[in-house]
Amino acid sequence: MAVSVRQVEDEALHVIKTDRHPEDEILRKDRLPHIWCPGCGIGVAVTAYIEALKRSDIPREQHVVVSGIGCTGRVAGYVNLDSYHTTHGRAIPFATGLAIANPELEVTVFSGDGDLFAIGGNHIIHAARRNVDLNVICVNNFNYGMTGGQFGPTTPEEAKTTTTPYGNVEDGFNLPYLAAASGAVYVARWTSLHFRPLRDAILRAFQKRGLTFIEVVSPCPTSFGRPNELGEGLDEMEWYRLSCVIDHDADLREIGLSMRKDSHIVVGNFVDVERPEFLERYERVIQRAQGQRSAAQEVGPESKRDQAQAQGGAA
Amino acid sequence: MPIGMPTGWAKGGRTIPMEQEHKQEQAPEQPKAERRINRLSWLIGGAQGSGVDSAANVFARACAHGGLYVLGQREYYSNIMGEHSYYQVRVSDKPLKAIRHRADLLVSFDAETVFVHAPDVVPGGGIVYDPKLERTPLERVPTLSARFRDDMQRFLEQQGVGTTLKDLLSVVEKEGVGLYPIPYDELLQRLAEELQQPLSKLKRAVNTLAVAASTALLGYGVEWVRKALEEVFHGKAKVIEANVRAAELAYEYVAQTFGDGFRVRLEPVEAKEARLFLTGTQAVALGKILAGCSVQTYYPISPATDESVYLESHQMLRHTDGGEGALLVLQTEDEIAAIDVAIGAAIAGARAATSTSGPGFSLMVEGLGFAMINEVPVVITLYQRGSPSTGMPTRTEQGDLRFVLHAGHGEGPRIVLASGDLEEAFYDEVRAFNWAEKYQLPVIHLLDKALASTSETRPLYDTKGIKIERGKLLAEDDLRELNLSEGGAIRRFLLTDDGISPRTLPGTEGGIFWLTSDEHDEWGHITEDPVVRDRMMEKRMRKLETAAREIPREEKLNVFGHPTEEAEAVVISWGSPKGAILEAMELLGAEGFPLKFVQVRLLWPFPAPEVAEELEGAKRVIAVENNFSGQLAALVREQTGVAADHLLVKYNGRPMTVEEVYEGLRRCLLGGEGDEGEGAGAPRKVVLTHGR
Repeated sequence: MAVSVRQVEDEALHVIKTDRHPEDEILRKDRLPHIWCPGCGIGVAVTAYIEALKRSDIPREQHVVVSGIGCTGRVAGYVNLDSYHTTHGRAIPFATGLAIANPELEVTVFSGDGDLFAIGGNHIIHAARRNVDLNVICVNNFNYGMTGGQFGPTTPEEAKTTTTPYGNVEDGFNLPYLAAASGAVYVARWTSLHFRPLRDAILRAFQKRGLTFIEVVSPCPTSFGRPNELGEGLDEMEWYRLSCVIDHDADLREIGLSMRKDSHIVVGNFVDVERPEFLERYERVIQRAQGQRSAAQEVGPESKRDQAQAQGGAA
Repeated sequence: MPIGMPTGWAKGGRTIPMEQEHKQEQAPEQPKAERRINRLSWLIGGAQGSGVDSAANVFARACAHGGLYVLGQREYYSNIMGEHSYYQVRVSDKPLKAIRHRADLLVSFDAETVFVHAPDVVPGGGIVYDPKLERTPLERVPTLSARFRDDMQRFLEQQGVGTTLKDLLSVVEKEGVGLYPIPYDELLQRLAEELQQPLSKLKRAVNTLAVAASTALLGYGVEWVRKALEEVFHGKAKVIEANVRAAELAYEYVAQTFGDGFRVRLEPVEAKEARLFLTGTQAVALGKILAGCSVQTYYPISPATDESVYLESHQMLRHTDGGEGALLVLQTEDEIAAIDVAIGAAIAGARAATSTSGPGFSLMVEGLGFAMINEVPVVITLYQRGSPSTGMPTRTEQGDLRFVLHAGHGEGPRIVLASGDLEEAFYDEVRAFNWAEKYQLPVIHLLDKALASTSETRPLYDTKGIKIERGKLLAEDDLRELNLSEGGAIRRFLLTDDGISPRTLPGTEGGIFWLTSDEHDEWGHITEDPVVRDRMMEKRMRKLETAAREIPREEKLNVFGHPTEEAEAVVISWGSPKGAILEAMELLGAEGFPLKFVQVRLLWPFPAPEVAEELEGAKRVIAVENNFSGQLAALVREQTGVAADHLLVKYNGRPMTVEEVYEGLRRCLLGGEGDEGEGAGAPRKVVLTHGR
């Protein structure tokens, strides 16, 4: 049976007219309106996370979101999951505690560039080195939005912010390069324009054991777009469309972000390697130690002393 | 008398007898023949890294194997090798409570040890030393501090002698201290020949020679030394053989050269029960294991690290219920991460703890605030050390009481408890976990370097009475039964009469919950509503009232000695001075000064009514603390209105000794030398200064 154009339009309208948001089951409607500005990219990252979560075969109650402080830090309060809004810079250590105490949990850290790489910089490199089973999603908007647009650890050289009124004198971190060098087993960068690849990257991160890192380049029209004359959120999306280059095999040393008009934003799934996750290694070592211990105890005459020592060393 | 050298024989004036309880046994007409049995204060010193610790360990274990009680205290520099370290050990056939700084027997193999500690040897005591060092002048010991060298030089000048070790020893000898030169090199040479091993490989046996020379002087059987060596060098047959032979050579040499004239003797006794020989950090670590701690985090820091080192080496223990090693010990990148990982683990349901010292706790303050506002049960074991800043990493102090009471911006609930000895350290650690979970807040367990590095023999801990109390922790079944799940989630901060809300763990079906470091409503969602703010603040603080109501009096404070109306004074203190106070009290009691001692164990919520009651009617109140300002005294005044009449404080980084506390309390009661004329009245503040 032929379907008329009219019918298709009706169905489309039906979808649009519904008062149910597709992500309602995981978003917390009662918490709306959210605090993010029009044109902000954080919402896209949250939606990508939720879509990935719905596609993952990990039971809903095992997902936990941990965030730090700042605009992205507020993600924890808007999802209908066990989720914890922690202190500034410390999402990773709190998340590490959750992950090592209960390996069943699928712990995702959702935070901003300032939280994760300035005040929390020490934690992320060590968590990556340790290869704790965490998914780290970093929304990079190049500045401290919530406190009024100060420059941060990813602000590119020359960029203007409230505290670099004549242009930033420092270089910003190249996050994928840093994460990969620190030991992350999965590293990707996408922008808030790249919804589907971002969703798939998060889904891949859920599958990986160990620390995964995804940078989400995001517009911040209020605090970063305005002083740098990047226009509204939509204009920034247009900028991403024009300047992004997908290159999964990019040389990570070369993909730092800059304010130059002719520069490219290289995006892609850069790193996907296997390296034993922290608890896996830990258990291996403990089992070996237990083996040695039992062997020692089976020898006989020493076993009593060994047990006594375990109790603090008998006199 | 040189400044900083207040010692038995150098001081003149009043000193206490070394072991009061044996005083009456003295035969005055024949003082040389008097023997003291099984009451010994022993000290060994040497350059750090030269084996002082293992030598002391061998000695202590030898005594312990003979059924004797041992109590030791280790002093060392913040340094790996070279600086002077020493170990004081007391031995008795009765349980011991504290160290004494005057030694019956000083054991050395370097010149520095003799220069530093000879003034602390009692008349009638002895010094074991290497005769080849006799000609070493004071100026040639580079690790001595300039201050000590100056003081010692002045002292030797006053004595009219030169500056060599021999000069000092001649002064000491005149005071009645016996000299026992042991030619270590000769004995080592003989050992090398007998064993046909190169001398260079046997250098370390000098420790055994020194220890064995001392036990030989004490008339204690060489078989006990052999037992200790077998234990300390377990599994290394050749090392044991060499050291046992070294011990025998020392015994032979002592017998031939000195006979058995030394006045203190050790004799084995039968121990009626099995005993542990352990340190303070091990006592706490055992408490953690027994409390079911499953995540311990730390960043290396003196003097807390030994606890984590111990736990790291026992994390593979099988639990008695058959469970595999259930304790995960994680060394983090800093103390900020250490407390936050512990908090994360506690949220996920682990019994989680972290262990640190002052500088590390400074970094943990941020996380502490999170645990308070989010009501997370986490245990912080804090070993205080000389502060502020890096301070004196390996020296003791009780300087952090005020800090931990107020740590964190704003006001939040925490429980603070302090242990006075290794008995309390173990059970308090278990208590800390139970209180953390019952009241859902951080619990700070205060200890200090003195307790950390105390080692002692003690009966096994009674683990049968240990109960794990997890408070209002709900499983899925409880959730259903109590009907607390609303739309799949719970009100994590449900307002209740006792202030404590039921909690679930992440991953619990129907038990989703939210946390935020911001002020929040019952659901854990950010709020700045003034009414909700009031309710939440009051709810959190109400938990302290609940705790104060529920915690039994005997866990809040200990009371020793005489009733207030009979006591000349009420001594109030907390933490590690406990042992020295108790022994000093016995001595003063025997002299006709009955005292009462209130040891505050729960520092927050402060047991104000109980303390006020104990202090009421006191003739005078003397606060004893290892800090500068008398932090407990100020707290007592703030909380009860009672001002201490005297402060007995010490802040040179060394623990209080029995002699010092005895003399200090006496001065508080009677006044004393230097107090603006004899009988001018007792000073308000007495500063104890003994330290080496």
